[in-house]
Amino acid sequence: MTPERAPLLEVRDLVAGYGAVQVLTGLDITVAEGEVAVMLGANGAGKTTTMRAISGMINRKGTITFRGEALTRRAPDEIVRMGIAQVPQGRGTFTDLTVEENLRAGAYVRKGSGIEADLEEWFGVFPRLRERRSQKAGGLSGGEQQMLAIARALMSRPKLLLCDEPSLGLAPIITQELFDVLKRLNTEQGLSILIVEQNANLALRIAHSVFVLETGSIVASGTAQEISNNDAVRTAYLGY
Amino acid sequence: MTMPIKIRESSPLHWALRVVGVSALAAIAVYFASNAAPSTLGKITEACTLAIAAVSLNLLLGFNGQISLGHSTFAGLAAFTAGYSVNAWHWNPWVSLGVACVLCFALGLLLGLPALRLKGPYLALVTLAVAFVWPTVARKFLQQTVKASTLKGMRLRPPTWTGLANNRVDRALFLFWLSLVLLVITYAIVRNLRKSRIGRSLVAVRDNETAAAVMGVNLPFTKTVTFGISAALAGVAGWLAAAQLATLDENSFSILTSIKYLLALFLGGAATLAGPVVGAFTYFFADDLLKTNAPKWDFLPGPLSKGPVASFLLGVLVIVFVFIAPLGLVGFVKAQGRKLAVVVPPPLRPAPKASDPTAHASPAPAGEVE
Ligand SMILES: Nc1ncnc2c1ncn2[C@@H]1O[C@H](COP(=O)(O)OP(=O)(O)O)[C@@H](O)[C@H]1O
Ligand SMILES: [Mg+2]
Repeated sequence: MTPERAPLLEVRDLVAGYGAVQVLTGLDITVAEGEVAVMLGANGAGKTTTMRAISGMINRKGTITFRGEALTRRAPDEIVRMGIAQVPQGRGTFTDLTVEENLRAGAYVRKGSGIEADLEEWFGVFPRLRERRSQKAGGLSGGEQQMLAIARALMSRPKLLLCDEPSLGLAPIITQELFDVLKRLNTEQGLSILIVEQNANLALRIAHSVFVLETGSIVASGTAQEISNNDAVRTAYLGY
Repeated sequence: MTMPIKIRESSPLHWALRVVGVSALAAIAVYFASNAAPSTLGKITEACTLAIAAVSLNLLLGFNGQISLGHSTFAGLAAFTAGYSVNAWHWNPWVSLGVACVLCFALGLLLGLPALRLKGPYLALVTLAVAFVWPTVARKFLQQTVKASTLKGMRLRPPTWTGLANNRVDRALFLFWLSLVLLVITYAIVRNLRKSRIGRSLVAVRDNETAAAVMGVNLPFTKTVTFGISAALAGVAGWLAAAQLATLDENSFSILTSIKYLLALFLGGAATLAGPVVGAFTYFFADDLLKTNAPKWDFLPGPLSKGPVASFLLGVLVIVFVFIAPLGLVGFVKAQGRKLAVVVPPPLRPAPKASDPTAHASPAPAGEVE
């Protein structure tokens, strides 16, 4: 059982898509302060679209409230400033920039003070990145690039981190390491995290609450425990 | 000592190397200024002009990933603005430089708008169309406004404080120094931009638009303004060309000029700071050498002996070179140089105290060679 926490992000009746194509057809999710929420969905269910709608990258209808403020009409840069950072699907590291430049680019919306200190802090959390500080990001392994993408997102000092399929293309052992880091960020720093995944085994271990997305809306939700015990979900997303 | 040697950024050694490099370049410039014939100085001036254009294109294409085949048009617009305003309206040439840059900036912004929706080959096509339309626009302007088939170039008098007279030799010397100064300024603008927060966002947009946007980079603003700045800098090259050419006509800034900018950029290395400068000088003097020696290729069979062999050979050379060193001359040298020495960033400062918000702003303590 998870204790009741204050809602950080509330999404109600979210409708979004691309031009005439409607992908999300009334989606509801809630991420509480300090929790790790996982949204499960098959390929094409609309996970990335949900992330893009929250980050303000596409037009959307419905209400999205973050720390009590509506953000349905806000632009991506305002949303970053409000405290939501996204790690895009496929990592999206800037391959021709060095590791350090990638991190500094993550602090784009911030001015001046504290950026150096934050670099130091995330180099502490991700020592591999410190070793490769002046190397181009394109030369990093997949796992390192995912770590870099996360650290880069953290450079904007978010309250909520959105991770779009962080395990994509990574070996299970690397994925394990990745989720360990996310877990630590959640417990040690109080960071709230929303992860979307297709393959849920590892993600569920660190999740407090879970949502199941099917063709544009949520079909099941509950605690990680409840969802793991749901037979239909288990066969579809956990593979046993 | 292990290879590669590590040099700390902004350490005394790093600064010493920079000073030596800049002094060497300055010494070469002074040497040419005092020894070279006016015709040679003229060639260097032309190479500098090409370099300015290539640097401007590098900002747009190399760092921001937007291709433009229309840069000749920006140069043409600036050259015509200068030539006409100085000759017909007796404007001060320096004022015409400012106005030309503003006009080019505006046209660049305008061309940046369709560029928001287009990528790669489609953007190339739109900018190509602009380059194709330019000669017609220029011809109409010459016919209807200038009422002549050509427009006179802009004759720059050396200012009195330079101590240079208003004769052919001194004017060549003046243009030589002016082109160098303008090249240094253009280079410095692009360099400082690239090293700043804005510059990182330019490369970020090029490497991954989605990731850049979710970090808060305003894509339309960044891309159009980059287009504008790049166009304004290309305008500097055009203005400088107007100061070198006796006459300007509709073919002075054709699509071939844009191709030349592109070749110079890729020969030197796109997305590197020095690449476009090195590329422009290499391209210009290779072209010059081949042209001077063109009669020697008479022995070639058939049409090759009559046609523009020099241009053909230069084309072949550039293609071969792009295969050998796809990152350009500078990219190639950098890759080799990294085996010998690398520049590493200074150590990070510990977290600044809340009471001292400027603590992190001062440069890190200089490190030594490790
Ligand atoms: N840029 C786009 N334009 C049009 N349709 C898109 C676009 N991106 C995704 N879609 C469609 O939206 C649906 C959901 O995609 P997405 O949100 O990426 O799914 P997921 O991330 O869950 O795999 C898919 O049917 C996909 O084809
Ligand atoms: Mg997806």
